[in-house]
Amino acid sequence: MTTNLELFATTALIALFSSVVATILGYPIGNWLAGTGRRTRQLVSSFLLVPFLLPPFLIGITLLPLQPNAFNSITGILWIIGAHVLMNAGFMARVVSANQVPADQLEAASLDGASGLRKRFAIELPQQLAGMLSAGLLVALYSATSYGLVLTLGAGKVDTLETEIATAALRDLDLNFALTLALLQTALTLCFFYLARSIGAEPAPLFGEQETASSGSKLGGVLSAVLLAAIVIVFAGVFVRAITYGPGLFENFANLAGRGSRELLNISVAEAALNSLRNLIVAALIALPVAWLAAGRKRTSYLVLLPIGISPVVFGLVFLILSGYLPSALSGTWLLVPIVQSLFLIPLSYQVLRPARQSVSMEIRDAAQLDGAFGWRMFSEVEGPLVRKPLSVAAAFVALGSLGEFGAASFLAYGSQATLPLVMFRLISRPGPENLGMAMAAASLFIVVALAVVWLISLEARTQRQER
Amino acid sequence: MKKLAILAISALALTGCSAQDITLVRLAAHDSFVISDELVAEFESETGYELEIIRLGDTGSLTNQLVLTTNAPVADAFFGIDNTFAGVATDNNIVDGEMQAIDYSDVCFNYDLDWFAESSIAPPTSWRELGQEQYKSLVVVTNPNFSSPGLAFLATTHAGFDTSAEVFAYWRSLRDNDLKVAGSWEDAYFVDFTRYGGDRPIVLSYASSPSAEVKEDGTPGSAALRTECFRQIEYAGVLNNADNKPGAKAIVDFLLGDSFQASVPENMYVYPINEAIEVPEAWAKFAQPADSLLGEGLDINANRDQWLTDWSDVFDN
Repeated sequence: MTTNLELFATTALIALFSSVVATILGYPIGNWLAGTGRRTRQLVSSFLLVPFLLPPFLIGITLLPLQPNAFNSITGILWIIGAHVLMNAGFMARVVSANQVPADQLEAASLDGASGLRKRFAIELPQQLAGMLSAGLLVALYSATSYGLVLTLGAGKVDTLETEIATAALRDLDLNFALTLALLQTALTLCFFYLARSIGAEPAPLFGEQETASSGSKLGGVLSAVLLAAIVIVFAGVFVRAITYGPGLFENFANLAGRGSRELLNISVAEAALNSLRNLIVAALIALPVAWLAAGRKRTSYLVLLPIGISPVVFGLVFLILSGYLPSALSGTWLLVPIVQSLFLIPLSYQVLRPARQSVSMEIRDAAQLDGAFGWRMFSEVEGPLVRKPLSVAAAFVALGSLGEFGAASFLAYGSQATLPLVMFRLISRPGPENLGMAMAAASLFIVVALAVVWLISLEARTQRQER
Repeated sequence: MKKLAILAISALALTGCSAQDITLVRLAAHDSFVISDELVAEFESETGYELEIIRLGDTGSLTNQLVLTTNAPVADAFFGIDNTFAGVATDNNIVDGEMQAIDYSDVCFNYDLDWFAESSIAPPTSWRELGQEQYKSLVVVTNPNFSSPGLAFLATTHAGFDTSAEVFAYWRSLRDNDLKVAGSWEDAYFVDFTRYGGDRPIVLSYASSPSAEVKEDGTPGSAALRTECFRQIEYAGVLNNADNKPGAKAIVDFLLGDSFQASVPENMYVYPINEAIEVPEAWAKFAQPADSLLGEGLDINANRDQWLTDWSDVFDN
């Protein structure tokens, strides 16, 4: 019997180890990236960020075929940490490369006779530490809320707070125990989130540009190559399996219109994808306008940011309990899923939109108002075009966030309302080459979408730079 | 903030939430529920209702979802809560009136006759022998956490021994004999069982399963260990707080009617509860119910959590 304390410790340790390893790996990679030419930097860092943008359950699915058939809980935990590192090391590298020490400082130090190593550890590291610590805590937060990944790679042998919340609520019907665990989970993640915010001011811009004089070490270059190779191998593995598993490429994709071998699913993968698309649209319709309005306010809205520190599993549980008290037009319908998703998509888009909206100068707004632009006209003709790019980035984040959301949906979407991640999880948790082939086909589509989003965002970053 | 609230509400209104059409009947069922299109058409033309079937996973998650959504049920009626979960349903008061037994089946091990004919090993005669050396790596069961035959067999072992120490010893002997635990009945039977290309000639299934394994020459392909089996009874009923209670009652009555009852052996491999219904010929020959039963007096509801925790302890470490 696992105790609450053990669950808490397992969850916290997985989160911390994932974060520490991702940081150790990301630091030299980030410094190396910062020293490379602009084109290389942009290409490599964009690619390293793709796993970070993919939903955790999908990272789990991409690694699943590489797992041995039988393993114990410790091995399971190592796999989970490894998957978190693969997801987040690129993000850490990007943060490090964006937090470089100004060139003149380093030159001054060189003149004073400081060696390369000394410059790195006496001058650069202390200045980068705050940003890294903040990003590291965010990685810990993501790693403590990766329910879908733990389910996929833990194979039922790894218990975390999130998996036990689900077991207590959905299997044992013990809502009191589930709520107790939910409180522990929330205490843990809110703690990570607020420490991260109090240490580093704002999260570093993910796709920004930074000029630096730092020259990366050989080690950084090698590690970058290793990480890149790992990502390419894992992704290529998914594509190859989509082609070779089960009945083969065309059949695997054609099967997505069906319900798996032995009619395993309630609805076809395509129908589930449509459900997810519908949820995405509703979630975006709620999250983007709310984030937009909140981002326009003078003071930072901590209330809006709060949900980012709360696990989707906890949200799912709370809304499952609440659903008995909500108006019946809402409870028991598919609407609950996108509404809950929008709760944590709002802070995500807020973080993108706030700096953008704050940067639109007061003068422009005042001038527009003098010319009679208010409300919708102000948005569509003045501010909207000015922040079109951050707006499309926020929309892309919302899209990926909603499409890949697993925890809340697993509590609230069932039967014919199942979402794409839920049916994909069902496909991989049952044997049969046909099911696995379908899951890999769907996963490769997911990866292609994420690559397209990254490409879109980096394209935006580039045109932004050119316009400056 | 007021602005935000209005926006959120209008976004909701845009997506439209219309009242349920009362000609619709929603039947929640587990994933193994099968009703032919002809039978659905028969129900719809007889009653004028439109039938929607909502599948909620296995028996356990079906029951639990119905309990968790009891104030705003996702369906009007249910099919498939069985006697291992009936206590959960009654404790949580989710059923309006009585639950109606619809079908039953006896959970017991099946073995591949051809496989044993070709090997020098004698087939087992009781589930109690499966920990013996000669059956090493030959047996597949289903995970009791996710599968009702799995839970039924776990209950069987608790009914079959006097002390829980003996139950533990039995399960450990199975584990040490390289028992395979599959996620669901479908996986165990259609993936791991040797008759479907797997490598396990002994599978946890039902007394009725051999009727589906009769070969073209009329000889049986598999046999069931018919002693000390667990009888699983599946129920249907009207849900409390259902939007359409008359419709719910109509579908429950239909499930008890002759047409549906006659369909259950071939569609779901279970025996109709109505004994007057004639079962197919292959059934009379190869799918006799169990000779002896175990566990009818067990309080499964009171013990389930503990049993599952103990079981997981044996298998996870």
